Amino acid sequence: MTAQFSERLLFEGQELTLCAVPLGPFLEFSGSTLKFEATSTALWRGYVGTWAIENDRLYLVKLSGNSVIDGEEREVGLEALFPDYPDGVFAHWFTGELRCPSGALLKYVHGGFGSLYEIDQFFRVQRGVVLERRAVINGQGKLGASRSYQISAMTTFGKKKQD
Amino acid sequence: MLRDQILYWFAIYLAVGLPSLILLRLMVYFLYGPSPYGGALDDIMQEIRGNGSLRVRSIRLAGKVLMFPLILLIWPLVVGLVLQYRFSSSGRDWKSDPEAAFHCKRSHLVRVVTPEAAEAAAFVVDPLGRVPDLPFGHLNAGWRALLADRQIGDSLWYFEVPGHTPAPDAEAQRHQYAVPRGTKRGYALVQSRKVRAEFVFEWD
Repeated sequence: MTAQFSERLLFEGQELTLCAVPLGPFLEFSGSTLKFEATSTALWRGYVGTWAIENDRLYLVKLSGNSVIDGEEREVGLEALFPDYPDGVFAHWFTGELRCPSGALLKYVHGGFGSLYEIDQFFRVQRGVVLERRAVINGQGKLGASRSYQISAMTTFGKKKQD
Repeated sequence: MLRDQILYWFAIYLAVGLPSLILLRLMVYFLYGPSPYGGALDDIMQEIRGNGSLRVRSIRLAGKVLMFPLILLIWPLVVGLVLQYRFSSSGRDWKSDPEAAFHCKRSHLVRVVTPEAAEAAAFVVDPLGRVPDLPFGHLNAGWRALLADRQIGDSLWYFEVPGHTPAPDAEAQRHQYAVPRGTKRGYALVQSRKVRAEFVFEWD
């Protein structure tokens, strides 16, 4: 088990760390044939999405991933999934809570998005529409504790090339 | 083909029967001591040399003599049949539940709907126009795939899978989510009370 790279969330001019994977349900149920390739043990999903909340709606605005196309591993972006929507797509398929941690690290967990930080900001979303925003204070970090999202170790894979 | 099958079953018979026979003979030897004939033959010899009328001894002897090859022939085949069924694909299918592959279980089914009603409730509107004007928006291909999979006798059900809320003292609860996680909503094709296909349009 390895801690995973977070997604990014643009909100009110800030870039937040997003510990959720709202694209997962889309990939599973949309009928998309695109398969992402893991580039390291810290990115098993094979991509990092940049999301934005605009007018209380959740959009996927950027995607950076790896996929094997024509036998060769290539970097792919939003256009690979949504060719008609280069500026972003409305994430109407997502219902649930988005969690954005910030502040000093309280407890490091080397798996998934398990680490605990001083503040968790939650956005409750229903079918892509943000209904509620709240913050939870988890505690106060020690002096000198790391204040950025941490992944302590990972194994990086080489690029795939099929003959 | 028939020859191959006979050879196959004969191989199973030998593979099961010979090791078992050797094992049982060893058990008899160590438990009851050496015998000039073996357990079953001892019985037969006792009947031949035993007391009682000739008629009674003949009947008992015939029963034992007939039972001996029957048991010898049948039991390894029965064991072989059971093993073959257990590890064959049909045996595995029998053991595993095909519905287990789906998120939707029978208990999650809420109501029967028509495709038209499902589509009418599924139009997505976005002021920025970042969604196609189709039922279920960006998930339309998945919905169409479900409809294309319909067979005679299928009914379309709306389903809801409840999420999970960790116990307050559970380690997983250190992130204080307010709503259950992992909830799903979608439509399923059901035939003979079994979920046959599903389409999830909303998932935490």
